[in-house]
Formats: sequence, C-alpha cells, structure tokens
Amino acid sequence: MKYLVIVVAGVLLLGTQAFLPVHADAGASVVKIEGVDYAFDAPDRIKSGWTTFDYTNAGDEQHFLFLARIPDGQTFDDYLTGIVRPFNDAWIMLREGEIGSEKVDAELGAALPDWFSDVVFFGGSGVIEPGMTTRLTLDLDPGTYAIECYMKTEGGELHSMEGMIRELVVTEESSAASEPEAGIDITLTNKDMTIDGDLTPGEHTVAVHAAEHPKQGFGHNIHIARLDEATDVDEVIRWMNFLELDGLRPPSPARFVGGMHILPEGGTGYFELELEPGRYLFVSEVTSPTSPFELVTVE
Amino acid sequence: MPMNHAARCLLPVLAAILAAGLAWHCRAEDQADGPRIVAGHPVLENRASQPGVVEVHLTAAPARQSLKPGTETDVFAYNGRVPGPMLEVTEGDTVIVHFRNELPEQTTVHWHGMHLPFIADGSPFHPVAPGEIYTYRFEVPEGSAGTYWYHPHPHHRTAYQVGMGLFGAMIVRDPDDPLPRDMRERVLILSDHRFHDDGSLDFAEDDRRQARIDEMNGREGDVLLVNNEVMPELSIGAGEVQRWRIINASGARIYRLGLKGHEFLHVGSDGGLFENPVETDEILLANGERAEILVRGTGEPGSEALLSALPYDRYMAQWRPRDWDRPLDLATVKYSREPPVEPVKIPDRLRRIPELDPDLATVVREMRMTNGKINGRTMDMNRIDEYAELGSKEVWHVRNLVGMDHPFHLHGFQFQVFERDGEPVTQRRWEDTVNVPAFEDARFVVRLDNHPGKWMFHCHNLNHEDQGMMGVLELE
Repeated sequence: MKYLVIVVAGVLLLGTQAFLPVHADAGASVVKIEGVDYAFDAPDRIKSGWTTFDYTNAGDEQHFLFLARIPDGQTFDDYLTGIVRPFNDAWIMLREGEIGSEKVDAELGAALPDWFSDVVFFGGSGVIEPGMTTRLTLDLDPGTYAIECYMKTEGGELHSMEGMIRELVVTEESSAASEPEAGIDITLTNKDMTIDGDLTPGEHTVAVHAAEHPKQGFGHNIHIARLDEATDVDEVIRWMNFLELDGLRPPSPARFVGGMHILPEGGTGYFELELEPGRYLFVSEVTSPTSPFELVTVE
Repeated sequence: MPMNHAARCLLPVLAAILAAGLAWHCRAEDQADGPRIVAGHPVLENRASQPGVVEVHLTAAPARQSLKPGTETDVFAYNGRVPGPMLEVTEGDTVIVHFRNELPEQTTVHWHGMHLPFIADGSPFHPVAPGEIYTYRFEVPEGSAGTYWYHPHPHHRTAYQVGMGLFGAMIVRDPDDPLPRDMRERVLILSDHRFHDDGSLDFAEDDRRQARIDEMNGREGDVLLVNNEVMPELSIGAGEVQRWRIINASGARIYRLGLKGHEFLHVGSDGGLFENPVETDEILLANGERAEILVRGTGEPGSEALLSALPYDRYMAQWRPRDWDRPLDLATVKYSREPPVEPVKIPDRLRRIPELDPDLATVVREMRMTNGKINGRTMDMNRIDEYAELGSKEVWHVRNLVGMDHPFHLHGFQFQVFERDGEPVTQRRWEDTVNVPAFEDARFVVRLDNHPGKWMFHCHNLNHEDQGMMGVLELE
C-alpha cells in the first residue's frame, strides 16, 4: 500500500532513546524486540541456533528480557498457569506479610508442577534503563519459549503478571549464524565470578559462561550496574534479591547497563557492553545461596 | 425585612429555575404514565411538535430496584429505569436530549457509535455536574440506521456508573429498511452483576485482591442479566423469524452467544446492516459492540431453547478465572403452542456499504495496546495524543501486545476493518469497536470527516478505560 505519510506512534516513542552503537556481524540472525510497560513487542517465531537480539527498553521503567524454554508436552499457557501464577502467589503472600522469605521455597515446592525442573532458562538480557538498547546473542534450541520480565512495578506487581510475557516459538530451521567472538570472558560458578579480558573504555563483546548450576536456586546470571560516588554497593546487591520487598522494584539504587540472564549449565551467551571510565558492579541476581559479584574500575 | 437589591434581582432567576425544575419533573412523570413500548423497551417520549425533530428528556438519578429476590439494590437509573428508556430516531432526524444529572457525582451521556459533533459526544471533556442540565443536540446521518446505545463516560468513573445501571438502547431507523417490517423485534441489553450478601452491588471496595483481579480482567459479575432481568423468557412461534438487536453493556464480559439447536442469520453490526446476511451458530460480542441477528423459530411448538453465554477465553492465563469455561445461561426462548407459520423471506441483499479503500489512506497510525495503556501512555485530559486533519482518510493498525482481549473503540466515527491478524476481512461492515484478541492485531480504515474536536479512543473494557487506557485524537 502507498501511504503518503506514515505515523508510527511506536517509533515516536523511541525518539529520545539513546541507542547503543552496535554493529551486526555479517552472518548474524538479528531479532528486534521492544520492551514497554508492560509487554514485549516481539515476533512470534524465529529460527533456532545462534540468534542475536536487539532489545530496546521503550518503557519508562527498568526491564530485562528472560528466555525460558518450556518442556516438550507443555504449552505457554501451562507455563503461565503452572509456573508464573504460583510464583506470583508466593510473592504476594510474602509482600502481604503472610509468609516470611524462608517459607517461599516451601510454598513454591508445593505449588509448582513436577515439570518445572525441565524448564530450561536460556539466557536473556540484564537489567537495562528506559531508552536503552542492548544486544545479546544466544544459542537457542528449537521449542516453545516464554519471553518474560519479572521485575516489579512501583506498587509491587510483577511485570509478567501485568502482561510482560509472551510466547516465542523457535523453529527447527537453523539461523546458520555463527557464534560471536568475545574479547572478555566471564565465568560463573557456584562459588565465584571470574572476569578475563581488559575492561577498557569502549565497546566489548562479552561472553558469559555458566560453568555450573547451583544445587539450590535457579541458575547463574550477571547484571552490570554503573556506580557513582553515592551508590551504596551493598544496597545494590540487596536490591538484586527478588525476595526483598523492594528488590527488583523501583526506585533502583543504581543505573544498569545490561548483562546476561540465567543460562543453562554449561551454556554460553554473549552481550555487547559499552564501558566508560568509572566504577561498575558486576552482580548476580540472587537466585541461589551464593550469588557472586565483582567491583570493577574502568580506566 | 426589606430585600436588598441583589436579592430582588435574584428572585426572578430563582423563580425561573423553580419553574423549569417543576416543568421537568412534570414531563418525567407524564412519561412514566404510559411510555410507548418498542422492541420490549419503553421509548423516550418525543416532545417535539415539528417533524424530523426528536426532543426528549433524560435524567440520571439514584434509584432502588429488586434485582435479587428478597432484596433491594441501590442503582443508578435513567428516568428511573435500568436499562434506561430507548431513544428511537430516524435517519435525518435532529435529536435534542435535555439531560439532567441528579446523581451525587458528575457524569456524561455518551451516544456510543454515533457520528455527531464533539460537543454532543458526551466524552469526559464535557462533564455534567450534579444538579446541572446539559442539552445534547445532533443530526442523525443518512445511512446510519442501526443499533446504538448510550451510557456515561466520566473520566475514571465509567465502569462504576455503567455497573450501577446507567445504560440504554438507541435505535436509528431507516425509512426504507430492507428487512420485513412485520418481524417481531427485540432489543437485548446484556449486563452482569456481582452482589454482596445484602443485595448491594459489589465493586470490590473492601477486597484488595478482588480489586486487583478486576483491574486486570475487568469487573465481571456472576449474575447475568438481559434487560436487567435474570433468565427472562423470550417467546417465539414455530416458523416465526424475529429481529434481535443485541448490545453488550457489560463492563468486561465478552459474550459468545449461542442458542441451542438454532443458527442465527447475522445481519448487522455496530453501524447497521451488512450488505448480505451471514449464517452463523455463534455471535461474539465484545464490550460496547452490537449485533443484529435474525432468530428463526426452527423449534417445535411448545419447546424451549436456552440462549447461553458460551465459554470464551479472553483472559491472560495467569489471571483466568478458574470457572471461565462454564457456560452461563442468559434467557429461555419459549415456543408458543401455535401451529408453525410460514417463515418470512429475508432478502439476500440488505444494502450497499460504500467501500473505504485503505490504499487511498494518507495516514497510518499504530496503536499498541498493553494493559491499561495505549502507546505506552495513560489518559491525560490535558494532552493530545494524536492530531489529524478534518476529512482525512486513515488506516489505524491496532496491536494487542498482551495476553488478553482488548476491545478498541473510537468515538464519533464508524470504520471498516479490512485485516485481522494478517488475514483479509472480506465482509464489509461498519464498526466503532473492534475486539483485538491476545497478541493479535487489526487494521481498519476510517474517514475522519465533518466534526472537528477531541475524540477519544480507548479500550472498552471499562475498568481498563478508567485506568487510563484511552487517548485523544484532535481533529482540526
């Protein structure tokens, strides 16, 4: 159709965004996703294999993007009713003071279906600020996934319960894209975080390796916070705990610039990171008893 | 004590106000004496003496009604009735509605689906304060014959006021209506209620969790009503064909209507008749939408059939009620014992609907709906979200980014949906509300002509609308 004028409100919304200067590799399979308050604007189907996501936060609040592969035989609807709803129920009980945080595991254990252990967390972006775009690359198996953000609103409601969750079908057809090359490697184990490479000002491709999977908890991940002189590092680490009443909930104690969400054991994911001189906190969302962190100074 | 000058000046004014109030009261009583009944509804009495003018009086006020056996319920009512009396007009008429607000809060009367001047739209931009009178005046366009409805539209209070009982039907007649005139006609206004034990209406005032569910799903009631009656009996004769005009006045419930053992002939939508009738066994009616159907009495004399709200999954799965898949009965269709009659013949061709060609549109707008927001914004009465040129033809691409249905309504202008979720829509029809299911989209073409002003577009799930899932298009 020939339209003389195209007014796309979504584009207008992005008018003030500070896009990262990312460059697609020639062989990359790039999928654009927007996060808004509170939904994802994303395709329904993509190819499997190495896939690069350009994820833009077009909302007014912080968001991440988290990919969970739903076991064969279960549906996206099953995931919403069987997984998301019990998590929310437990959170609401915690928020309303009906249970303490020590009881959450027991509540979830009783409410989650057996197949929850077969859900595979396939990575995703770290927390990013409104207006920011992050680029990440993941190796996706075919299957049905949930794209999700379970951060909280100011009122303490999960973004996923507000609608920020949708189905993504990854087809058998492979993207045939190649694995990126990283200049920095971060290895996450059950005890610590190891960063190899020069964290210098500029753009970096960062590989995150989840070398182990915790016996308790949901897996390893990394989020990167830009610190200023007033940032309380302990407060940021505490805020990264979902079970804290004000955890992952506005106001945020720091400005986040991305990272890599929970990866499967042995999995590797990549993200682009632009560093400026200053202090950063590389921190895991608290999803296991030991959630490591590193303070980094970029000079 | 002698009166001062100000008091002397005020006396005639007060006398005039008293006289006007008395006259108003008398008119309302006159009408209550014996209103004309059309399609099962009392009709607002036309007080105009000249032809081509329909001048009526409408008052919104608190009332008490028996909705649940053994209890009385506080409601809001138009002219003391729920639903309000029907406004019946003909294409080309000038309509004058003298509206009086006797509610304890501000309100408006929105003439849902009508193409009319901005000042007569009854949008939140023209609130009527308690005790005030507002006169709505508009011309009924040629070609607009169909089923419409009126309801309040105050900012943040629409779900409550409609839920309290403020809604009524409006029929625009075509002097050359192609359907047989001797068919029995019914207007069925669908609503639902949730009650406290004492019979009062439940708006989750003291129940935070229910309030949260209502915020997400919209407030649904477990008691379904047709014309404010629980399980009414609708009589029909074997072989008879009836014309039903159905209006979804529920704040959130979407009706998937079925009449057991029967098929419908779907003949019209929001903006009147189709070009051709369509056979169907179900009608999906989202909030604010209307359908015109022909019900053919194919049952045996003396038999019954249930009109039901069949399960329809409009919910985000994480908020879906556990009993969502339970069919709910709305009414009983009872066949008379009279011997069957020969069905009337229904024309294959009902009318010609002019095509709005989307290829000739000069503007495309995208509306991204999330829960409670359109294009990332909540309603701000002091902000214009979209500007358009008077007379322009536009394509609107309405996208639903979340996992529940959102019925999208545009004030003042009927449109033609030409694509749904990537598939072309072949049947041309006029609509003012398009339901967009979870993660789907719809494209419609609209001509924004005749009436400059600020026009609302919003989700017609009334709780969502009240949360601010609404925007303003300024047409100039």
